Amino acid sequence: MDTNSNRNTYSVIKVSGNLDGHRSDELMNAVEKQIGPGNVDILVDFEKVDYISSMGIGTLISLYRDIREKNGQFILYGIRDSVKEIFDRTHLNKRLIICNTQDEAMDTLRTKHN
Amino acid sequence: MPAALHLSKKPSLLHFLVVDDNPTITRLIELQMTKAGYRCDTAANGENALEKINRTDFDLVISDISMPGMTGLELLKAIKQKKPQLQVLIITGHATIDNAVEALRLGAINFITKPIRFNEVFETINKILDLKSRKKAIRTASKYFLYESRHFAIPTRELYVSDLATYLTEPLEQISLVDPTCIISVTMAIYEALVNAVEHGNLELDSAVKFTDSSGMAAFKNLKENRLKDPLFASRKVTIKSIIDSSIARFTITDEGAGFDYTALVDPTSESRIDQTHGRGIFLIRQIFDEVRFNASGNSISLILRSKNPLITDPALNPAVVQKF
Repeated sequence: MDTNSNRNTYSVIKVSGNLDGHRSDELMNAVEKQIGPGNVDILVDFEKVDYISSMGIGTLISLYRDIREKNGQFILYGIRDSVKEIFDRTHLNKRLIICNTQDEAMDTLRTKHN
Repeated sequence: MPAALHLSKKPSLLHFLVVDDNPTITRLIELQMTKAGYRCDTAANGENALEKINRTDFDLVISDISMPGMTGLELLKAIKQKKPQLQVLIITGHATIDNAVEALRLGAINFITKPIRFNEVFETINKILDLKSRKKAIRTASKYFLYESRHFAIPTRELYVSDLATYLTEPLEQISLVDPTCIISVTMAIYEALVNAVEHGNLELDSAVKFTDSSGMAAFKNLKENRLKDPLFASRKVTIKSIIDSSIARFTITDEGAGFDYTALVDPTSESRIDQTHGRGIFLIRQIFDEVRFNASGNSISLILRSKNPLITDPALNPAVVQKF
């Protein structure tokens, strides 16, 4: 799992493989490390995620909820069809903010803060 | 060792496509391949390569990773979508080694670095020949496949959920019961069932703990580790029975916990439940399998998958399987 911080305003976390129990744990820790004063916006790059388990879904909801409570944004982008189908079926697409590309995610971030 | 000594099988049976925007490289590879007895075509870019691939059944595409327009990785993705069985060998400079690793993940058979050493190319070709021969043997045997039955009873502390799920679903792909693009969904559904058997069944853990607050995940992990050390929980077994024939697969996963009231399962997609962090495992399983059954006490789940194109439709052809089901 790779993390890039940008000028202390937002962080991008790249996840790969199956977002199962083990990777969900890693994602939780990665987000926790990034969140701090002036940095509560998290962008998650899903381009290399093949599949997501129920634990992965729980983790995304939990992170979304926690970050929103801190007035931050939690945005996913680059989601593959196999994962998109799970989001559609579980209706997560109605809750989470999902963008096609990183540029679109950053535009959404700017809009949300304006 | 001269490259030609690597060749032991009929080279003329193989047809290659070399893709590179540098004509010197394509010419060099083409010359070497032709000299070794292979049939070889060339393409100057990814788009041109795809046109040729649509028209011809190649055995191997040898492609540079860095090309103007469609890159080698984009070409690889397009090939794996159109013709998943077609093998792709990626050529890369040292600077793009990360991309080469990504190429393997996307399904390339191998990558070689520049300058090209032809014995490495021939090693890959021999690997393809071996694969072709193995696949032919499996394809032939699969035509006469009747059924496969497995039975495990694994102590909780020795159950490696993710790898076991992969192992259990491997035969489905070999006998083409499941489309290769769907196999990951089936594997992950079995993974969900195994996690339930281990965590909720045998270890009696409550998933809701994970997301109660910021320390929930750590608390859950601690409790799990402690229970895995406690013989009362850790010695409980998960029993897995799988029986697969060419038209149906059934996996029964049973734990030694108290079971649960599966009739009380609620729809996790309802508006009031959508923000819940847990309670989607069975829902996801039901999205994938044609039929999901529980025993009365709820500590055993059966997952049934039917082939969309069953090879054997007449049960009389396979009485042993019918009896076992």
